[in-house]
Amino acid sequence: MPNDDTISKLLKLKRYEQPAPGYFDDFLREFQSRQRSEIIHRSLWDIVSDRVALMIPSFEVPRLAYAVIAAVAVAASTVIAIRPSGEVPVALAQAEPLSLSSSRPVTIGEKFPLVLASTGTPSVHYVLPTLPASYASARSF
Amino acid sequence: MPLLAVSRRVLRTPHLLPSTLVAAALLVSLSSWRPVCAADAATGSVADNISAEVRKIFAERKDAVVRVRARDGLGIRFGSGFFVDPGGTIFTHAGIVLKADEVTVIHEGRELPARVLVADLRSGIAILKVEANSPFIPVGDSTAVELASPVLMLGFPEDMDLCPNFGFVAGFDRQYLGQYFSTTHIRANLPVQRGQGGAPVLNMKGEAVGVLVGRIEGGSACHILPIRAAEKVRLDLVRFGELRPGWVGVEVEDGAASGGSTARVHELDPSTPAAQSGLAPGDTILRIGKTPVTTSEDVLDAAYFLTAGDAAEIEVMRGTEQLKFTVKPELHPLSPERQMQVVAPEAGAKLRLE
Repeated sequence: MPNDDTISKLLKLKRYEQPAPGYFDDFLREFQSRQRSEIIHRSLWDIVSDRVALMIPSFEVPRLAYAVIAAVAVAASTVIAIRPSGEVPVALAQAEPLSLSSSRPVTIGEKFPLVLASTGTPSVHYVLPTLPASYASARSF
Repeated sequence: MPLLAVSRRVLRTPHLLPSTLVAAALLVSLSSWRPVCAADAATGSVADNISAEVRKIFAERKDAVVRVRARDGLGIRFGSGFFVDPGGTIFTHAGIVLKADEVTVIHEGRELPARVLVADLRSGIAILKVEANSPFIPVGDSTAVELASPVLMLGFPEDMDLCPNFGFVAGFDRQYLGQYFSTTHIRANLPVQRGQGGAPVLNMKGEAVGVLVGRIEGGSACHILPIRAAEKVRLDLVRFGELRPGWVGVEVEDGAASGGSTARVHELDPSTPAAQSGLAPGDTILRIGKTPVTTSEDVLDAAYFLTAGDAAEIEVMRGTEQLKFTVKPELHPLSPERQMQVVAPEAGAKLRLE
């Protein structure tokens, strides 16, 4: 265990320690190089988030604007909710009927017309259900 | 050495004759022997043989398969169907024609008008009639179909041409997705597509053993109504001009085994045919008509084949005694025919065929 005297001698010696010549020049150069590399290799997300963070305080939105936006949203929702279901927007009413079916007749032998009066192309269903068809009960007869 | 010279020498030395005959027999048998692999190569691989069989049946039966087209309030429905006699009677899927205003079948390039004789909600099939002489698929024995039996289905997938689908019987189901069938259905690992509802399912003799009625999720497998059950519908129609699903009014439950069965009569309304025949709660049912019963679910199959008005024998165990009762079933209370009679008798009469 070194005594106090030994420790004070060691501390005195430390005062005379010097870095290698050019150390501080190299230190500065290396510091700047690392700083540049940090900027170049930053992810896009970091850069964007920093920019956005810097911009936000610059917006000066009046407090009332938030209240106006909320009121408009509530009013629009109410209008949509209470509108009668039978009312069809003009643009939709004038549109062609939408159908997933093909207007092409089935081409087995001679062609036959798929005629449905004034309703446009009829919808086509190919039958093969999954659920059993039965009205009978399993445990009564 | 020439054969003639050998023959002369053998004839001159009679003691050589027996050994010569043995040698000749050996030569003949060796010349007719072929290794097993050679035989296989001559007849093709198993897959080639199956393919050849499927092609043969398809060629023989394709003309008896039709595309069914029905128009109703929701649009146009397409499915498959097949002739079961030379007089133009067709089996198809009830879902195609159930609410149809107009039904036609497309057969050999012609579109023919069809009449709906019956669309049965219980079995899921419909019977149509076209005025034409028709090729037909003979009816086979669906009770002979067993696990892993090969089956072939001929149907029209969507708007595409008729195609053969080959698979194996994977099981026999009484219910699917928690809903009971009217009778045990055949489940086959047979790929199916929409539009093939009502298609015939054949055995490898080319006989119809079922009607395709349901698709299992994804269409990788299907449910098939056994042809015996479809024939019950046709038989009712031929005999009575309408369907006559029978009902005797017995509620069953599983109880202690007696006489090899656990199907115990649970409830009997005094007004039902069963109660009037002498059956009593607590009896264990052993047989209904010709169908043996061992569990409560077995009554499903037995009940399907009951016909209203046709007496049926029910065999039961009562204590240690084996008894037989004759019961005359009524029309099933849930059948559309019965409902029609109750709600509008005059409309019920219209269900009858001309």
